[in-house]
Amino acid sequence: MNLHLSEDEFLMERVRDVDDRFAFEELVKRHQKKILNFFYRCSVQYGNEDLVQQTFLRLYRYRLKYKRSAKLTTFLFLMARQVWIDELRKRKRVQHLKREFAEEVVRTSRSKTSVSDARLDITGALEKLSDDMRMVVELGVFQGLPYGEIAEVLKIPQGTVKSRMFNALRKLRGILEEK
Amino acid sequence: MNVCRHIDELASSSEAQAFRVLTERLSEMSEIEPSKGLTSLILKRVELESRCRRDHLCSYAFRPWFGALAAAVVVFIVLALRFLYPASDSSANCVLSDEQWLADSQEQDGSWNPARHGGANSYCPSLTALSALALYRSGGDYSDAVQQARRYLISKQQTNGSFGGEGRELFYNQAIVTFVLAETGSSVSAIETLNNAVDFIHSRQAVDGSWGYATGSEGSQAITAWQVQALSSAKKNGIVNADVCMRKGLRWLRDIASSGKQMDYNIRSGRSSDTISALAGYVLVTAGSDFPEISALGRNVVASIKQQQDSQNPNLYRDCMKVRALKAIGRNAGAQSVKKQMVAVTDDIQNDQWGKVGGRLYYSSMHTLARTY
Repeated sequence: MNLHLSEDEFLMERVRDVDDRFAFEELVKRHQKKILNFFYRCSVQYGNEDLVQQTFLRLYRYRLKYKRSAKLTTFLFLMARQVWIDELRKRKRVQHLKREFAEEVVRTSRSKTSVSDARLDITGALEKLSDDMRMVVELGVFQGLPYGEIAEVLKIPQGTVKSRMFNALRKLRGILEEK
Repeated sequence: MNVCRHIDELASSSEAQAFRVLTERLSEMSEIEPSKGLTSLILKRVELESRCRRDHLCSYAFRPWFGALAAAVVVFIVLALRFLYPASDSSANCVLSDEQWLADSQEQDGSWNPARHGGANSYCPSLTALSALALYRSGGDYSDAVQQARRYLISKQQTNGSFGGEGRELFYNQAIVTFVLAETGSSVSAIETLNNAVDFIHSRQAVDGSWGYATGSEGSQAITAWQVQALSSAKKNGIVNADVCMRKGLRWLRDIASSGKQMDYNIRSGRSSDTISALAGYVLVTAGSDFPEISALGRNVVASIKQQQDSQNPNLYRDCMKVRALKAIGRNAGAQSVKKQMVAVTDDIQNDQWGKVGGRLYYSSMHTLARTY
């Protein structure tokens, strides 16, 4: 019996059933870094901690919908993805924000002179992927989720996850080899 | 299927190798750390949100038209129900129906199946044990049903001594089944089962004497009180190993009670739960009966619980624990009053905090048990 596997789900049940704030705090501590890096790799160079806050707030709001049959990480990334989609919509609505964002990216890229060229290459290559492909790489490679869970989070068939991952890896390889 | 297996499946080995190198490079990318205050910021936002929602709901409750409408609807429903179902059952009939229903709903193998009665299957051992205990204590002729349930529970013990489940289910199942096996009789096979069950409880005890909702997590008053109660009953059945870890657990509960901390499911909540006060207080009084100081402390804890019914939050587990604890310290009138209030709660399983966990098995066992104290 592996207790560690069930701990997240057990804590989430405590949050759902008895509004257990200690259990919620434990979940935040365990997963905030994962979610922060999720947004960071989605090219959010500023305000990514605010998106992490929104994700956990959403997790709390939707706690009554949590079912034990779902892994907590699946549920959490569903929330994070929705927060990311809302954020993109917001950015599209406010056009000048997009410009500011682009400037911000340039500023942060410039400030990263101490970071190795290799890392910059990978970051740059990831940015060249479409959102759909990047999301599959993020969940499959960086977060290590199995394809079944990625399919649940992105609400697409598992076969599509597979083909997107293959195309993403091939594209990344091509970009990096060019450099 | 994950990315590694996907790559292994690729037809072109050179491409697979290139992808492996690429995913390794990606995985090695450094990550950023969250700022130190992020956790507390998130918790503050959640607290703010839940407070706003509470205020919002309260503002509706105090609107006169809303109150009048709600009252009218309640009166209409009560009258309609009285018309449709005239109240003819005496409380004696209710006693009979709860017990009889439990006896009738036992499965062939001796268990009770929670899924059939609105409960959660993961708590099957606990609910089987509680149903058997209710029948055992009821004083009716249910010895066959109880023995069958005992055989079922003994057969379900795993090689490590546990009765199954994960996380909190594991600890509730373990304590409740151990307690009930110890309380409902003794046999050679049961003694062996109890020995193994006690060893398992012992193996999961934290250094400070407590047990938490999961192995290695912070001590919980609820879980610790249940384990101490189980160990105390096992000790009375001659299980020698139970003594030392029971004393350690008892000391932990005593320290919590004497430090002025509130009794709740969570040690850090700062709130007080009548359920846990009644449970832990009872355990301090009974398991700590050899230690006058601990027993006296338990009496104080029990004396602090509210006797009036919290009609907004039906909770038969809480009420049953209250009846038992009040009776244990000689407050018979208080216990009687809680019992009467329990009779009034008839079909509110859906709103009961534990209704979804135990369904009608929980409801019938709690009603039956409360009447036996």
